[in-house]
Amino acid sequence: MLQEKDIDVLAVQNEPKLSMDNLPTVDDLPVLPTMRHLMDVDLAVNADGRVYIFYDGKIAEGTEYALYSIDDSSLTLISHNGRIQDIGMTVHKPLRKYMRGSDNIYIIEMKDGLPGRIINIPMIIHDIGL
Amino acid sequence: MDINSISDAIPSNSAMIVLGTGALAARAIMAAGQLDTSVVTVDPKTGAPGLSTTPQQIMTPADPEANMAIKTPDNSLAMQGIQTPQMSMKR
Repeated sequence: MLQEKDIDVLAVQNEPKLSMDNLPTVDDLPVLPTMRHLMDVDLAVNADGRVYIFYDGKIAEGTEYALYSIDDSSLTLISHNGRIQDIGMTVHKPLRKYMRGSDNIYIIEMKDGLPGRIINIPMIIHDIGL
Repeated sequence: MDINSISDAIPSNSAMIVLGTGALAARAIMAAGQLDTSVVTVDPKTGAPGLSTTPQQIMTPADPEANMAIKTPDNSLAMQGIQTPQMSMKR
């Protein structure tokens, strides 16, 4: 008879930390952990209709466009090789009106409290009316 | 498309709604020189909007002792063991 092996789900796991500079292939890791899980992030809209993501970590290489899903109130970044990363926050009602009216988004890196790389990428709005 | 400066990304002081703590957005707004931008932060968990504020106010840490300095005349008397009319009425 095989001896039953104890498992301890509460034990501290020594999983290697995900390095954004040396990611596995897209086939091995098509979906990254959410931005909010990895770093501090703010999503903002202004009265002029501009949409911003401010973040203080590292995002996937070659972020090409953003996908705003009205149906599930989510915002996802998609890189040129198809890797996806959700921001990890529900796009709540106060922001939706302005999000819906925009077709691009400013992705602003904040390094030690100062602006770093800034890109402006297209934002695709997905609404199938669920 | 790469943007050269934060002022190009945030060229005006038009009001902003921020989902998150607002700290990163506030720093960026201040770096763009739009100090009088009105900012409303929205709690990511509940979706509840907060009060309209300025980037500087977001960056100013709350003083934990601020409320302790406030004493109403009634409760300062009560602390000395003197009953005020309000306290007597409650009984």
